[in-house]
Amino acid sequence: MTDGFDSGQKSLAAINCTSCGSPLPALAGHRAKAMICSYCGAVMDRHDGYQLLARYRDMPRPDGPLTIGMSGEIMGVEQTIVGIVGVSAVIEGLRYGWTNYQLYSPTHGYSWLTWTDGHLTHSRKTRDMPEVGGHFAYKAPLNAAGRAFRMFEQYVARITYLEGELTWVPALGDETQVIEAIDPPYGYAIAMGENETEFEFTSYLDRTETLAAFDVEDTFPRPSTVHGTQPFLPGALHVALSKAGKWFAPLALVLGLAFLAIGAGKKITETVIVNTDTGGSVVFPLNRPDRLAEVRLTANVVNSWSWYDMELIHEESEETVAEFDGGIEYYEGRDSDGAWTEGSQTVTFRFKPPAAGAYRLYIETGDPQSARLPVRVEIRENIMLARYLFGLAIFFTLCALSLWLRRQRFEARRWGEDEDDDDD
Amino acid sequence: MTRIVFVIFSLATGAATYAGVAGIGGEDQQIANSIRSGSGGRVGYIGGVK
Repeated sequence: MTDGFDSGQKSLAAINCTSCGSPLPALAGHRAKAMICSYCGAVMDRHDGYQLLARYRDMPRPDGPLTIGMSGEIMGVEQTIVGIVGVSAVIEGLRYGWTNYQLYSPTHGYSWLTWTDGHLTHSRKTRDMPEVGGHFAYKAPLNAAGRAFRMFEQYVARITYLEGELTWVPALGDETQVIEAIDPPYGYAIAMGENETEFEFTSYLDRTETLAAFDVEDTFPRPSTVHGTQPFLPGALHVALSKAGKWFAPLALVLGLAFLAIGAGKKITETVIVNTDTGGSVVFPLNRPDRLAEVRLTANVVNSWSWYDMELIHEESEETVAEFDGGIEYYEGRDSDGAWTEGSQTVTFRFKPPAAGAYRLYIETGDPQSARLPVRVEIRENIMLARYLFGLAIFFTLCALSLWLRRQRFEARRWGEDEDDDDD
Repeated sequence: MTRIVFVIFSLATGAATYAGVAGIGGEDQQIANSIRSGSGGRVGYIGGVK
């Protein structure tokens, strides 16, 4: 048996367990009080010749990517894992477990690295006490360490596993009342033990980066939950889509409304064909073959329908350009829900003329059962469509809102207020 | 990335504006088919009146 430290700052690599004789790494500094054997669970007093204090056999080893003896840089400080503590707690009826790694740095002392559901956080004791007392109130403000935290959760943490060198002499099953507050990516905890109350400041860590610092490849499953201190970090593409959406959504909307206002085009002519049985025609010029023209028929059809056959003829060549038909139907009435209507007394047909020039539209009743009523024929050209711009406005709006919606969902998952927690 | 998205959104807005002005996709399908199928060359026949 050999002490793992001396006053000359020179550490030995290992000691032998005073209970089972197994070699144990001695990596911590003088303040570490206990050494727990990885093999037999013996708890030894580092400050009293590694005297046996207790022994805990068959402790379930908690999940985690790191082991004692690993070193890596966290927040700019080289740290070594000297101990492991498994903790569990029941929060809102569910049991959660996590792994605390006791870190030691010769220059910065002791702190904790915590692995919980694939999240990694770093915690250190702080002397910054909260401005208010230790009473938990969900989402209530808690000002400490110069930050405005909000109370997140409270629970009783229970030790389920011990290994390595620790700064106090723990006992399996020891319990601590904890109140956690968050201000992502930071957290603040009030840990109230039997004899003392401690305050901890927590920082959320980039998992892959931290594991890489310990030379551990990140092949672990992704977290299934949002950690209380986890910052919302959207991808660059999502941020860009949202930013651009905020500019382009109103632009597309204004353009769409402008198209709606002026897109009805220019009226070329209007006439009424009184007797559609014998047929009638209207002649009109169309100057823009690259633009939409419109035939609009209106008839005072009520609780009936009318059907028309139409022929579009190019005046100069006397050639039939197109033949088409269509009808108007309109019904109205009253029932227990009140007045109702169905259909329309107007129908429109849009087309692009094959060439500029004068056209004749011939129209006559197209069905023997059709109502015979005078029909007003209106010809318009230069019709513009607002649908594409409105579609884009909707898309851009969704882009702009998606980041906000995603953040809302992220926050709901953080606070456990979502209904569906199976997606990250 | 933001610049690229702005360029893409600008192009999309321009394309939507052009499509709206040109009335792309706004034609009555029956008339468009009739024009494409080439009714041309025939004198109007409905009712025999032109």
